[in-house]
Amino acid sequence: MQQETSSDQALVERVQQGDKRAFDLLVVKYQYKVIGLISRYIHDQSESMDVAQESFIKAYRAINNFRGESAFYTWLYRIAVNTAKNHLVSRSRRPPESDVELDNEEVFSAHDALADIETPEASLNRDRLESAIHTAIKNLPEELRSALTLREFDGLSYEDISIVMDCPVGTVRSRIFRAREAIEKHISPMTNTGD
Amino acid sequence: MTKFNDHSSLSDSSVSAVFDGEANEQDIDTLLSKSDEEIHRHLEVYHLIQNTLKKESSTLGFLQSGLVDRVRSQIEKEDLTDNVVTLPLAEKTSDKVSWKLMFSSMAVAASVAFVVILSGNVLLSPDTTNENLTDSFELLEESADGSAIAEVVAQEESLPEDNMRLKHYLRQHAEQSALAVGQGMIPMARVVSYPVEE
Repeated sequence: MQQETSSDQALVERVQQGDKRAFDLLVVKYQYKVIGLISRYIHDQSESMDVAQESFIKAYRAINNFRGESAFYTWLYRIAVNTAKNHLVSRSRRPPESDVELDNEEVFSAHDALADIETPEASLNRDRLESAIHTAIKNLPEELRSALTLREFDGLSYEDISIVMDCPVGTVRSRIFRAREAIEKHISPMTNTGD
Repeated sequence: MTKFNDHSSLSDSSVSAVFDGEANEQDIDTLLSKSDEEIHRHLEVYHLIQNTLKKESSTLGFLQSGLVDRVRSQIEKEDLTDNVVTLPLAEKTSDKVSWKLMFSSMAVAASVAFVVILSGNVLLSPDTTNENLTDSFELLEESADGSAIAEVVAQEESLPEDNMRLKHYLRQHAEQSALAVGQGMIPMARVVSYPVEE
């Protein structure tokens, strides 16, 4: 977690120096968390996207006020919650009495909130995609699969994984990347959408 | 850190490292030199893999959501960079502010001192007339702190025999102006040394 904070802080500093592309990276990194969080307040997909966009814009405007005293996502989280609540108030809808706690917000996914409006076709596509991912993981070499699952399931840092697997940190980094690359190649026919 | 001989591998694994929060400055430099589309595609697939492993499936509607493009286009549209003050070094900004403040303070002190001296020359001169006093009032009104001085001088117009009181007041004001901004004793010295017929 500390490593992730310093990684985000490095990107934030780039943004504060005027690098908009660094902000793009932060948006891509946290967009699903933000969308998932907002969707707990706003169930309409289109509105959720609009509020998520507004949240990131607010974060960009206020980026120079971020001093790194908390994690970047913690700061972004509060902006997103406030933006969602304000949106509900402006629509004369009552926001929930209690906020989604930061520790539990990862439990709430965009899919869970929008399942009611998901079409059968979208649901089928999703199931197929998940199945393809599980198949790809199963077919990975042992060391790649272990590195990836230690990272994704257990949330271990690269350094911790290197201790568990008794290999250098660079090797851990390479194995995780190669595992993702193999899965990405396997599911690419299903994720390429026409323009 | 392990060095990668293949530059392509370094840049691609940099995306993976950023996703995991394990990126260093070199990774960020490498990523920012690559095309956005490629980076974003990788990151979105990594999100999909992560959500699947954690049994938090994402809808395909959010894959390639285009949120990054929407945010970026809005930022560029509103030209928010003009409102985002870049702060490469906090010390530089504070230095600029303090210099500006110092120069502005010096300008105020100099103008006040000049007006005080000028008004002293005019008011304490034996040939002081109402017309000269009017000119003095105009000069005082133009000074940064002219309002207070002009009021006092206007009151003194009706009391020509109180030139000594005016001299005393002007001297005090010049002293305080000089000391307030630390601009030295020159204005005060001039007023102090002004001869007055008593």
